[in-house]
Amino acid sequence: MSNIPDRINVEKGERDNLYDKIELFKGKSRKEQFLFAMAIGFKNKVKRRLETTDGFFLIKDMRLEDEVLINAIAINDFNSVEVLSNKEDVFKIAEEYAHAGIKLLYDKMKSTQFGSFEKQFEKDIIDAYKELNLGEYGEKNTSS
Amino acid sequence: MGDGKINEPILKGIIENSEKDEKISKFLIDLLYEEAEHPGGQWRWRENYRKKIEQYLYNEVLL
Amino acid sequence: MKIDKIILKNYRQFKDAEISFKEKSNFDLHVIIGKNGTGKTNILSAINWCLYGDEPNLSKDSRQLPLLNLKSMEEGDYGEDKEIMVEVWGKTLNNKFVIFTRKTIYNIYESGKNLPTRISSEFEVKVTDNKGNTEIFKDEESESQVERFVPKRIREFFFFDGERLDNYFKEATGQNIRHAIFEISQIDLLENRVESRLSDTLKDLRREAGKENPEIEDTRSQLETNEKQLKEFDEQIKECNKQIALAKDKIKDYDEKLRGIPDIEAVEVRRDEIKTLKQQKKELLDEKLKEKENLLFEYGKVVMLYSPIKQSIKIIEEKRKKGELPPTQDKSLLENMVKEKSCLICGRPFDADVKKRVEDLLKEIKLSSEVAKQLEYMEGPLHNFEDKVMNFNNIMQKITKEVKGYEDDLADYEQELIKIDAETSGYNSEKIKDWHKERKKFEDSFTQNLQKLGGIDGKRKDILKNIENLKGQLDDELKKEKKVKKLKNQIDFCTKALNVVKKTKEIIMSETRKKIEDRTKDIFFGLLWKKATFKDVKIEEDYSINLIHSLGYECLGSVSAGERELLALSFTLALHEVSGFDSPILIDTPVARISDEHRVNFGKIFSEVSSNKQTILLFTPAEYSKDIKELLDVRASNRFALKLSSDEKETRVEVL
Repeated sequence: MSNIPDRINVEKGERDNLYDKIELFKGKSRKEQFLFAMAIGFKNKVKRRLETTDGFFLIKDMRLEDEVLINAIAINDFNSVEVLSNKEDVFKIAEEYAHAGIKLLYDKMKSTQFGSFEKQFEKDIIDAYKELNLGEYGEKNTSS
Repeated sequence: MGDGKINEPILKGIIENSEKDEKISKFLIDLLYEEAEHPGGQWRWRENYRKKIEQYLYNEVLL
Repeated sequence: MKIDKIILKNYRQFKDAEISFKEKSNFDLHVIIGKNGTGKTNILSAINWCLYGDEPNLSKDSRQLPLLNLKSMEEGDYGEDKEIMVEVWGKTLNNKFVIFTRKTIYNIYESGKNLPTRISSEFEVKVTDNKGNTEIFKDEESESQVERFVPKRIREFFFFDGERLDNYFKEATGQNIRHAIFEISQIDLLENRVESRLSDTLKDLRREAGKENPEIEDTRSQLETNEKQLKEFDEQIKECNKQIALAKDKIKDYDEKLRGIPDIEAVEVRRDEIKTLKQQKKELLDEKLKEKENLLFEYGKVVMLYSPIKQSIKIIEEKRKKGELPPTQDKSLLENMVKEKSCLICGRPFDADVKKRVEDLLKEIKLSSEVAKQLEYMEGPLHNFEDKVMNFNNIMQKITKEVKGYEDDLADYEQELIKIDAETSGYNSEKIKDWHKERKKFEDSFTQNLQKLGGIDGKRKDILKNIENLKGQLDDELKKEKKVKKLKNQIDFCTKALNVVKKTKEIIMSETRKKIEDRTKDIFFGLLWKKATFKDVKIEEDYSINLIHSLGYECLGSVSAGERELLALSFTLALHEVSGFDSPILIDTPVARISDEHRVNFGKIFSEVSSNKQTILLFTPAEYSKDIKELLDVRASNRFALKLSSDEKETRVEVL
């Protein structure tokens, strides 16, 4: 059995230099910001080890469904459910994806023209949905 | 009459509306000519009007 | 009366000129052609100067030029007197010859001054009858002779400036026209002289009778008070009518000014409304966009993690199928038992056989109870996430549609604002607002005066009734008093005469208006080149003139300059004809405002008019175009050209 961590970390300086610079994150909780960054990292299949750590939010603030998402990534990454018995590993994976994800998001924001980031953001999400091949994206499903 | 000093319609109107009372019609036509002679309106009208009333009323003028 | 000739000596450009207007053909038409600056308008001025002693049609600049001819001034010696003279020779219908002469003597360079100084001025009228008897009138008497020719106050109905004919109905408001009609048809002579003076005489007679009897005096005094009140009411009614006419005129004026111009104030109210609506919609859109962003944020994360979510669901389902979930044994408890070599429940130590059996069991158990528990917890939320992804399309379509709706509304508002800006651009909005305000002011005045009129009318009726009663009472009292028998006869005579005057006046007033209306209509439609456009000409009670379009609306404000000039001309001719006032008509630059296509029409119209009225027309060479020339050259009794000398100090009149 591993020690259960009490917080989620980000790289030192990341909070001020990346998280707080992203317009989209304004008004969102640290937990929400982190999960989104993690999703981006996962979607782009990049994770990076944290060189330094800085507490971002406390794990007790997470709800079940938040933890479920982190668990799902860890299962996928380890290709085994047994990873769940080691929470330290689970959160580490999450932190690494988030570390890579936030950088990707920030770079994207920087590279898009002023005012068009929101559009790009929307497009990326819709593209991600389309890739799932769950049926065509568009109006025809609205009535269902 | 008819020398253009007083318009025909006025003369005709006076005669018609006097209903054959020649004293009245001639008195009024006399006044009109007298007034037309004094375009500025400055003349001794007060005593002349009174005089003409008496003249026409008591037949002192030839009708 | 007709003008026989005009003699001009030392008057402005005319050092020594004579223009004869003898009728030589069937058309009493006389044409004078002169370039600008040759003194064409000064012929009109000369007539005004001779008859009335002023030059109202001259521009301020021209009026400042010396009246004395420049050449004459130069030729004159120091201290020499020079005489300016204009004579208008006329002939009346009953063959009397009238000569109006105005002379002014100027002293040249007196006391070293540069401009000549006026020394004296005189005006006389010489009238010679057909037997050769001559009478000379001076001072006030000479002026009364002019009044018989063309009364000063209504001269603009005889001596026109074509440049201003277009504005004729604006300048000649109903009140002016009414005044002109009263003067021309001598209603004013009847009303302001005979009627008014007979009334005063009647009052004098009654006052005298009152002195003989206190009862008579009492009734007389009451009657006089009532009559005074009646007069006041009549004055008020007159003033109300004047204000109503003015308001109507002004409203028409502003309507004309504002035709085709948007109501800026209303447009600005609309603009503000749209701006507010736009702002509200913008706030709603911003909220909706934020909502969309939040949804993208919330759903986006799940969409991006859909594959691990799906994978986890699959694993859990498989484990459930294999019976690994829910867990039947506690894996960590068994592990501890193997480690302790005893049963941690009953405390009995494991023998080799038991130990082996527990180790085999441990090999079979794939999941630790901890992991299994977590997997069980995960199952519900994972399915929720799956549902969320499945619902993503619908949620996004819904909100995208809402956003688009707001964006479309905003675009519509924006379009409307652009339209309003385009509508109002180029207009002086402050001025237009002022016009609307002014128009409203006159509309209010119109309503207020109309209401006031109604109120006065009621009171007036009561007073009239009182007057009638008092008159009857006074009559009875006069009959009883023997001492006033003679006065009573005079009062009766005077009263009867006064009634005849009043009745005559009313009949003439109403007949005159109707006749002028009928004649104006006849002449206008007779002369009009496109007869189907208009239906009627109306002269209202207040003497305002209206032209009715064939479609039924009043259209005087929107007709062409040519049509307006024709109506002015028709009205003037009707006025002359109905009033029996026989005077020439003189028009300076008669076709200045007329478009080329209608100039010939006017040429024809002037010829027609001149067949029974002396018509003098002053053209510029440009106005006297080929078409007009062809038409008028053969008809005109006289044609003159004004030629300026090479030193530009004298104009000669050449007979063409």
